[in-house]
Amino acid sequence: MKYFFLIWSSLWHRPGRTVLTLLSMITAFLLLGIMQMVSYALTHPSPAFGSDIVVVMNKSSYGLPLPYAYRQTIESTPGVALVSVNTVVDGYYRDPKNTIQADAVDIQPFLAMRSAQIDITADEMRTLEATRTGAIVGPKIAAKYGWKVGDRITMQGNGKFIQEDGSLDWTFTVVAILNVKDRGVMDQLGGRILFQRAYLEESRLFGKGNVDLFLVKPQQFSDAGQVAQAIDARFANSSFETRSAPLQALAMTILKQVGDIGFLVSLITSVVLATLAFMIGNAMMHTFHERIPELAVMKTLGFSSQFVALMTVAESLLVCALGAGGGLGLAYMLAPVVNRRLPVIELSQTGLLPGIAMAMLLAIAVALIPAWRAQKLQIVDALATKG
Amino acid sequence: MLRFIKQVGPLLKLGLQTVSQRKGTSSVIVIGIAGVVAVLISMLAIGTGLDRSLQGGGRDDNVLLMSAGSGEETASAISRDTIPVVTSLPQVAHAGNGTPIASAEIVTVFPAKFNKTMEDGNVSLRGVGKQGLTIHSDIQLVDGQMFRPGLQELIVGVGVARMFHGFGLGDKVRIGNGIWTVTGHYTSQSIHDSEVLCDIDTLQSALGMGTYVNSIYVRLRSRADLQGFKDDVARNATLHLVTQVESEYFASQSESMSGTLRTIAYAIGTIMALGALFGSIHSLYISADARKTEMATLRAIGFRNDSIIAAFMIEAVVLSLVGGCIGAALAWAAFNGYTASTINTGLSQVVFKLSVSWSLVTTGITWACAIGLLGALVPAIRAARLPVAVALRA
Repeated sequence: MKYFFLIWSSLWHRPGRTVLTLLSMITAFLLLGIMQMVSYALTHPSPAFGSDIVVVMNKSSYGLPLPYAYRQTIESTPGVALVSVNTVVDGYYRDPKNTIQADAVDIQPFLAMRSAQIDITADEMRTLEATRTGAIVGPKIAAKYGWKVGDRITMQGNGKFIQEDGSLDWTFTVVAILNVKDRGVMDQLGGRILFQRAYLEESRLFGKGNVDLFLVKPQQFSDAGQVAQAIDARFANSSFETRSAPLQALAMTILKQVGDIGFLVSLITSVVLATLAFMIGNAMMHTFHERIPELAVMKTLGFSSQFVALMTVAESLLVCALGAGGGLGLAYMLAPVVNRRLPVIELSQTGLLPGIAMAMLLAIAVALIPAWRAQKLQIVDALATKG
Repeated sequence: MLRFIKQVGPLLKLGLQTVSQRKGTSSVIVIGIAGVVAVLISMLAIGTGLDRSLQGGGRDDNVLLMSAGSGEETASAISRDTIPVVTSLPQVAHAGNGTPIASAEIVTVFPAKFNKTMEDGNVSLRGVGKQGLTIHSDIQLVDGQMFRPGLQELIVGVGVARMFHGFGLGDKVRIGNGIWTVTGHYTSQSIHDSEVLCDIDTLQSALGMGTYVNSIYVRLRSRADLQGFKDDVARNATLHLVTQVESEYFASQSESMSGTLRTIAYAIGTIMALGALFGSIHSLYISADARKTEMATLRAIGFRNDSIIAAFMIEAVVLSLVGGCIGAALAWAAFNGYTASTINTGLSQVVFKLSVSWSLVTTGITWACAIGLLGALVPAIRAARLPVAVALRA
């Protein structure tokens, strides 16, 4: 510690240059941090997707329905604990610009599946069961449109959801604001409107008896893959074959399809980093070169070769720590801002960890040659060098 | 003034002739700038490539109708009963045989395997009406023949044929429980390159989804009829439809996709440029420091301060220009014509080609010069301000 001030003051031997080195290092590590977070996000679906929920879809296409009648067969498949249907009603609220979606689900199993993350009170559940048009709204969408419990809200459905009387107005009674216990699922569930499938089923003109997909919770978390296979096997060669996959795996296949863009961006960013590392390395070497006479003076004063070498290493470590810390810190702070603007990917700050390892590597690489040369330095030659 | 110009020439010549003696610092500048420009151009090439495949091809006299509140075709649904109501409006153009030029369409996706990795992806499938190819006039069959309505046949965009496995002429494609035959390949200037086309009625009966369509395309007699058509659609309260000019719809779709990407490109480009700026200022500082004595000597023998600064800056710009050209060449070699695909709305894939155009190259090289100029300014002034005596003694 007593040498820290020595290192610190030698760092500011040329303040202008040190600031420049630090700034370019901060930008380099900011970029590295962002790249790491993006590539982490592209390979790790957000945990909020729920790894233990299996989605059962129509095998032909995401957009095609499945018969509601499948529900019984799915429920009786070994290993299945809970089943809820899910049909998304697309539409808008008041102004066509306010695009919203409402999910027709089996409320009780739907909430039970995610009981660790979301719930409503028992009272609210009783009211919901007694209210045909009852809906639970997510806190985010409720705040956006100022909805309160007891409000009646009317959304305009699209042509798929014409009612028997020809109307496209779907009116819901807000019976509860969804209690989101796990902040991690806020983005997925905070903006949803959940209502009972029976209301949709009774009122819709087309597609009675159809659902978009089934959500299934297996009894054992580890069974998700097997349960998915067992369900698909049951409907093989039927008129509507199914494709089942754990939500997490599904999210993964979607992320994989971002494909080439992800690859191109990381390729390009690598070039960036290589370029910056080259420039920074060069600058640091130059700074060292200029300070050779200073090191020679230290040796003359009686500091050992090892000590001078260590000092050089410590200095380079300090520069890298400051630069990398600054850059990665910025990236860390940026992550939530970026997340708000990009819907598909979720940047995770965990992705930053490799950046710290990179910083150490760079520090050591940059320090190695100077340290070696500092140790070998002959006082006479060094003092003769022009600074 | 004349003396200033007279002096800059020889000074610049001197500076450039001695570049080889300062290989270290000069190459740092060149390599740094080359990196920045290569990256900036590549990022923008991805953006323009995406733009071109999402944006092009839309016509100004085609109008797209979707259900109110839907931002894209897959989220829209229009009851079949409304089709004749719309196509019988007076502003709609008619074909030679008197039928309105309009196409009710279904857009859905189906799973397919990528050529490169054999992993699962999704292909966008569009069922079009009888006038479909008249409406989408940019679609040109390049191989094979048209699908025949009533038969399970389809034609495939060249983007899909290139990116996905099993879309050659005559290949059988499984959609739902049906087997469809590829009868032709087509090109287009638009998103349709990343799609597969077939007859809407055949598709609807095969998939058992006959009650609604996703969208209706209508050709107007002229662009001037747009307002009248919009008003007529809006006046009919039972329709619940929104009207959009096709070209504007494509532009808005492209905006949401490549807009994000362009933001990222500029953000990374800017951070990168900042990093390179700091790096090159640093290199130029070193270079100016190393040439203190030289500059002082020049001043001592009567060269003006401003001409020394100017020559130093021009030299930096020349080096940056070299770096910029190397960077542009690298980006061009690596990415021009590169075909890539990524996920689009509705989870289907959009196939696009990266193109390194001259305007991108110009943008990149302009950035390079700007960085060189900015980077050289402060060190040059600093070196030139140093008193001659002090500098000569150093």
